[in-house]
Amino acid sequence: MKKKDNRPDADILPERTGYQVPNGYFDKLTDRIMDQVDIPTYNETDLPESYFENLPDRIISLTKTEVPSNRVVKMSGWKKYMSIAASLAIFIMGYNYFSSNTGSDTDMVVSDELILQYLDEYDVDLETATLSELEFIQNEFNMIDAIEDSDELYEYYLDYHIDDLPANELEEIIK
Amino acid sequence: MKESGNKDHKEYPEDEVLIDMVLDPVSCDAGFRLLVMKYQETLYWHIRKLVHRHEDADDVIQNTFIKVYKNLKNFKRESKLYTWLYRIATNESITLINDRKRRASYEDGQANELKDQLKADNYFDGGEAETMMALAIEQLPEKQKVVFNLRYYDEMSYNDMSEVLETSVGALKASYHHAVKKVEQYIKNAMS
Repeated sequence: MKKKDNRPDADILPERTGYQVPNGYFDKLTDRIMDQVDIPTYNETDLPESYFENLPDRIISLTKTEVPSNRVVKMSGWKKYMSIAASLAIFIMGYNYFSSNTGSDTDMVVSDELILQYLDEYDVDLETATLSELEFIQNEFNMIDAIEDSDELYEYYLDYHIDDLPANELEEIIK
Repeated sequence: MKESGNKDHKEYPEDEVLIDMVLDPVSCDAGFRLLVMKYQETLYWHIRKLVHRHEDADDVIQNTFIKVYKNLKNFKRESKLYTWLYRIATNESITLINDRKRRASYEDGQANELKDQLKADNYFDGGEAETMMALAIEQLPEKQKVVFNLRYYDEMSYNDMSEVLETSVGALKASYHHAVKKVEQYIKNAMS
């Protein structure tokens, strides 16, 4: 019996047991155990073939129907634009009324309120409005500008667009 | 082959990572394969020292890992993974030993039977000292045998043994002390 160095508290006992295993036993053991536990494999090919082709459309449709915030645009596109156009027509009439009758500085306040009202009424949130909605609004204001040719309206228009206007257009308005 | 098993576990992911992998359906297969590869040798040698025959150890190691797979989702992570694995392996080994005893009245001639068995075993290359050691351990009570193997061969700390056997550290120290004395006495008697 050889004397042990590392074995706890046992000084005269052999270190090894003499047990052996067949060659390559542990290499095969892993596979044999894996076969027995039969883990259901997670296979990506289980997905329908067209899954990833349709995925973008499905995501877009979900984001369209999903509620992003408290403000929801429930109308279809053309109804919405018709409503905005009608609101702008009311706005124009209101503006004409105030500018022809009072001509005071309160006109713009009223106009602002009208704009805010129609934005609120039709749930147009400037933070989330689409580019086409903004372009439509801009076009409508351009139309008002053409009809009214009013200094006050120019000022109002410039308040919103002075940074966007090309130099030649700006000069034209200032004249 | 190292009898103490593959203790160089550093090449494998940490136990916490392995558990998370096994519990995730996407990585379950790879995670469990890594877990088996990490612990199969360590557990096999622990089992082999209790059941002696390679064929029995082979059965027990497979049953152990099947139980591990089935019960891992219930593992509460309050103890170390490897002590939990040892506990399952130990219980499975004792179950097999008890079944064998019931079937063959094993206790009556266990020492002689084990001696003959080791002589005939193709997967045992021990000499007289190793055979005598196996016989000395075999005469210990079941739990004392496990305590001796875990401490002497696997050099497991008493704290970890306490998790494996759900026994206090003090009781384990006493049990190991008695086991060593009995084994030494058995060998001295056999040599004299």
